[in-house]
Amino acid sequence: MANTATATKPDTPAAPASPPAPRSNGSVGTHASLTSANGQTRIADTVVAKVAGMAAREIPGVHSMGKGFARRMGQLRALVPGSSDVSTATQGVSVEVGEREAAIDLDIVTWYGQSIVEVSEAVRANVIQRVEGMTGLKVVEVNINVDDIFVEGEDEEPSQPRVQ
Amino acid sequence: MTDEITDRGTLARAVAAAAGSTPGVARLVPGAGVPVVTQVPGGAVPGVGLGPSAVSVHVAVDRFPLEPVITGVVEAVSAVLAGAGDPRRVEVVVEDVDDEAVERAADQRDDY
Repeated sequence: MANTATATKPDTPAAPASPPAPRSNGSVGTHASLTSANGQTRIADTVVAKVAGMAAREIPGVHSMGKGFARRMGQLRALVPGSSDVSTATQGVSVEVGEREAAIDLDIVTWYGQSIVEVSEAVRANVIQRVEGMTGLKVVEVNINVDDIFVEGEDEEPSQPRVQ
Repeated sequence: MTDEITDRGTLARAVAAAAGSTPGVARLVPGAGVPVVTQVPGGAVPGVGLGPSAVSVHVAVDRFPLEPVITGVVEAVSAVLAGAGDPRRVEVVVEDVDDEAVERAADQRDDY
């Protein structure tokens, strides 16, 4: 199987075991080779973090992102006029980006009443798809930390006491 | 080999379309309790749960008997999964039966 894969590659016509070994797990051809003969492409951590953050937020089961304190600070910061929402895009995301691979850690808050398993599966699938599609990096892992669960009405003022 | 559906959103929509177009299925429902949905970017596919070993489809049925409808759903969804190269089982949950179907069934019994 490996022989047929290398034989079809145009740049390695007669070298089944070429020294720069092709990625064995890159089965889909969409992973752009970031290191070519004519130069190298580097993708900053922030780029990957932003893509991952936006991808996670696309899933309706994600209420917000970030760890407790940072999340509240982010909410305050968003109220300040003139602050862009760029900083909130990477909130709750930490990444490690290598030459060809990326590992992503996410802190998310879900809604009460949903399957957390389903939400995290959906987030993981979408983050992998978006990051691999947009950056060409291979995502080796997406670790999801469900930091809190949002209960609707919790943030409002306490209701009237039931007994007087 | 057919194109494998690797995207879970695409798979969930394909399963929903196959199950929803089966005769006797009124609609797909998320069910009572924790809603059975497949979350996709920007939305959700209700009534389809992509589990680790089984794909569950939650339906409301509009006719009796239920068996042919369930068999039809299993066949339709199995075809989708087979086309996608997915080895998971199909699980059908009848969450609801339309009121008219119950009334019709009661009328038929009264005729005897």
